[in-house]
Formats: sequence, structure tokens, C-alpha cells
Amino acid sequence: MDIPTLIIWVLALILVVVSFLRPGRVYVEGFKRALDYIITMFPRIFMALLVSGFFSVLIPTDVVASWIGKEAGLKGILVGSFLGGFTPGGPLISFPIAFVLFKSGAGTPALIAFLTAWSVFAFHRVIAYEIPLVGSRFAVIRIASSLILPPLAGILAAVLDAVLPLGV
Amino acid sequence: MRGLKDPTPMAQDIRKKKRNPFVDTSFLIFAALAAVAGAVCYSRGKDVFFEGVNSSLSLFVDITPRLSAAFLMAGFVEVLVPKDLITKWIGEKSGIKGILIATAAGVATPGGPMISFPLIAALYKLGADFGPLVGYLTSWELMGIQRIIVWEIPFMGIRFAALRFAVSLLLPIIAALTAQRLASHFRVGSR
Repeated sequence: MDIPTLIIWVLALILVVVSFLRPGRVYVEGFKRALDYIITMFPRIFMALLVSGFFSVLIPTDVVASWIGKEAGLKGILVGSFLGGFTPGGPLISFPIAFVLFKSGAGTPALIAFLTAWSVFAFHRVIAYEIPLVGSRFAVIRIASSLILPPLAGILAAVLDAVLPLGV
Repeated sequence: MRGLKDPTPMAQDIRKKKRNPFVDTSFLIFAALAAVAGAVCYSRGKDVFFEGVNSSLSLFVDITPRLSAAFLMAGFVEVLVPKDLITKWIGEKSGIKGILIATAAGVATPGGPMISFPLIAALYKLGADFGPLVGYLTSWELMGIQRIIVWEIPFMGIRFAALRFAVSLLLPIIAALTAQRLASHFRVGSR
């Protein structure tokens, strides 16, 4: 078992123990929700990974590398921000995409810009939740205030990545 | 769409609308995409096709133990984190302090948009400031600890997640301060 897996299992088990120590039957509800996640998510994850596996052999790595590779610099960060802003759907879609791009030679700063843009602009969430629940004025102001975040995250990541080569 | 009429549907109410656990729109879209991409691969040769299947399967084998634990965690975080405490935190009004507290609350809020948005909507209608609300939402979107553990670490690894978390620390505050300024400049219409 690798280290990330171990850490997540330890955290999960700590939470299980904590909920056992709580008064009432909190743990029953916890198990129910966990099971609900597992049952609903795994079939979708399997399909999503199948898609990403096929794409990983179809996407030409040299194209990925030249647009958003390590050498692409600021251009890569801007392209990543743009792609992320137009990626619909939840983490089930964005993370397999990020993974495939990573395997195909995308650079970390560009991928961080991509995930940042997808996180803050997520237009499926804006349309399904933010505008109906909070209103369009709020959504417009929030999005306008967030426009520089993805490139900024990418640039900061490039700097930090160069200064602190932590581990692998 | 659900929740259009009622501005603050509780997460539990939405949760009760059971969807088919195995097949829904997103599953079908993925299945169709997989079929198309698989066919394209197959047309380029059997070995290309099996290379694709192989890399999917090995990734699936890799992340299944992580995701299982992550979902177990997600279920328990949702029942353990007190929602009213988070509401109190974002309601905090006092300028930069309010924004910092809201940012911390965003990191701690578990669950998907059906949990965070009703919370925001309720506070917005109660008259909470733009700054803390935007700070909270941005922080939840960028640094929500549950998404990092459930999705980012299994797919991208700890180093990537740590680097992204570090560069995201200031972003909610930037967005919050900008939003506060924009909101006071453009007072068109009602809330």
C-alpha cells in the first residue's frame, strides 16, 4: 500500500472512531452516506477512467507538451486557465482529464491553472446552484473578482515549483 | 430544476430524492464517450485498443483502495462537521477578519454544492457581506479539504495537491476583497 492510500485510510478510520464515541447513532448515518457514495460513484468512476484510458492513447503527447507542457511557460498557464474555465461537470470529469493531461506531458503550473479555473468558474455549478439560489448579481461579481485567480495560481505554482523541489 | 422556488432547500431534502444508483445521465454520457473513444482506438489497431483498456484498468486498480477510503471519510465528515458552526463563521462581518474566518470555513465545509450553496443563499438573504461570502465560496471551491482528499490526492498525488493548496491560500482573500470593492461600486438593482 502506498503512502497516499495509507494516509486516507488512517483519516477515514479516525473519523469512524470519533463517530463511534459520539452520543447517539451518528456512525450509522455515516456508514449509510459512505455506502451511498461508494455505490453511486464507482460505476461512474469506472466509465470515466475507461474514457480517460482511451483518450490517453489517442491524444498526441507532443501536442499536449507544446501547448501546456513544462516548456510552454506563461502560454501553457493561459491555455490551461482557458480550458479549465470551459470544462463542465464535477470532479469526476475534471480529475481524469487532469490525470490524462499529466500523463501526456502537461506541466504542473498549467494543470494547477486548469484545476483552479475549473474550480472557480464551474459553469454547471453557476447555472444549477449559484444563479437560482443566490442570484445573478452575486454570480457576476464573484466571477469578475475571480478572473485573475487561475493565471495567478499557475504563475505562483511555477515559481514555487522552481524554488522548492519537494520530493518527486 | 430542483430548488428553484425554495431559496434554501436543505441538503437532506435533496438527498432523499433517490436517483438510480447505477445508471444516470453522467454514467450514460461516459459510457457513450467510452464506446466512441474505444471504437476510434480499435480502428487504429487492436494493440492500441488494449493499451487504452490496460491503462484504464491499472489506474482503476491504483485508485480503488484510495477512493474507497475517501468515500468512507466523506460520509463520516458530513455527519460530524456541525453545519450551524460553519454558518456562524461565514456570518462574521468584520472586514478582513470576517474574510479570513470565512476562508477557513470554506476549507472545512464537506460535501458538494448542495451543501454549500443553500448555506450561502441563506446568509446572503440575511444581509451578510459580499467579501466573506465570496471568500467562503472561493475557498470551498479551491481548498475544500474533502475534495482534495477524495479526488485530488488519489488522482494527482500528494505533492501536486500540496503545491496547489499552497498557491491557493491567498486567492480567496484576493477574490473577496475585489468582490467587496466591486459590490460597493455597482449598486445596481436589489440583492
